[in-house]
Amino acid sequence: MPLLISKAAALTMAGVLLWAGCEKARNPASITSTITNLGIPRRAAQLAAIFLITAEIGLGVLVLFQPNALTVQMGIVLLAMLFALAGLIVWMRGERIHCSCFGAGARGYLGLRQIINLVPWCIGAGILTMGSQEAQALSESAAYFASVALGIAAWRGHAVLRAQHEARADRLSAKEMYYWLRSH
Amino acid sequence: MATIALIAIALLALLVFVLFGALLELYRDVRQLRDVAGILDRPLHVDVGSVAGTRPSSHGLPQILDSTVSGLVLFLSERCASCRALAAGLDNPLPQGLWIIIQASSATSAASFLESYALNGKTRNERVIVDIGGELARRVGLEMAPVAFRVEHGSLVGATTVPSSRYLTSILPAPIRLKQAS
Repeated sequence: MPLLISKAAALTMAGVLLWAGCEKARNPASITSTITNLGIPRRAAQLAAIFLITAEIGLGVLVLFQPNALTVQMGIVLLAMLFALAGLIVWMRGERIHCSCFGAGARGYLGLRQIINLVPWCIGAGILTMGSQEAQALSESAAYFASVALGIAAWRGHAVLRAQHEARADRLSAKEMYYWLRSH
Repeated sequence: MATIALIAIALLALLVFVLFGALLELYRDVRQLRDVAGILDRPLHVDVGSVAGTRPSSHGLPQILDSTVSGLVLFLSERCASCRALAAGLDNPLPQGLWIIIQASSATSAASFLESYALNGKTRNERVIVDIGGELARRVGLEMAPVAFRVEHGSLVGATTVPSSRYLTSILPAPIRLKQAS
């Protein structure tokens, strides 16, 4: 398996896992609510949410530092299977439960999508399995970690700039149209 | 050392990512509040009060409006960026049925505004009127811009804010022409 492909797979999976984990960590209530809506008692749902956030962030980091480790690859598959199971339950019940896969702000509902997403996650884990078995240097892993973190921060920063631009236009428009509005 | 620095950078970047997420949510909250309060950039009905049903000329507006079947009087202010955006989007010649009132603080600033948006020539047709000091706006009780007053059968019948050129185009009176039988 070409090194580039396994590195790309590791970086992509790490990016997605870290994004999802950090977004859930920022607002755990959303994922807790999703788990509760699946029928799990509130207290257990809170613990499950903490476990899920830890697992996502942990796997996101480990896939960069130890992509060859079987536990990491199995962890990714198990996590994907967990989401797929949640999707399957909701799909069979015919319910509409907010996914919270990427935090409270993200749109999307649990269902077929999580079942379908199991495939690329398994493929990604498989690519890692077939990748180089040589131990990765710590400095190299740290560089990948920094790259992924900076990458997702930059992506989110772009969205913030767009929102700021929009909000500024609304504010200026309101300030000019409504003379009674106080300036800040 | 470099490894520790890189890990620190990564952790800081993740923190920045989380904070950006909070900021993004804040902007969405503000937009939602503005939507609920009705002050998003969308047209709002303006209550014209006692002005409704009156002749435009009684408020100092062009007398020709008193005999207009369907018209629009757009009040723009030189100080308002939305107004400038609308002025920049006006066609040459002006669309039929549209009159423009430019509120300016002085003759100089008015001239500058007209020149900036190539509205000079149109004043010859008396469809672009300069309102120095906002006197005309005050006479109709207007305290905001841009606002368009609708004129129907020679009377002022209502007004809305005009948030965009696209909205202005949609409210311009469009003449319906009869097709003569051959």
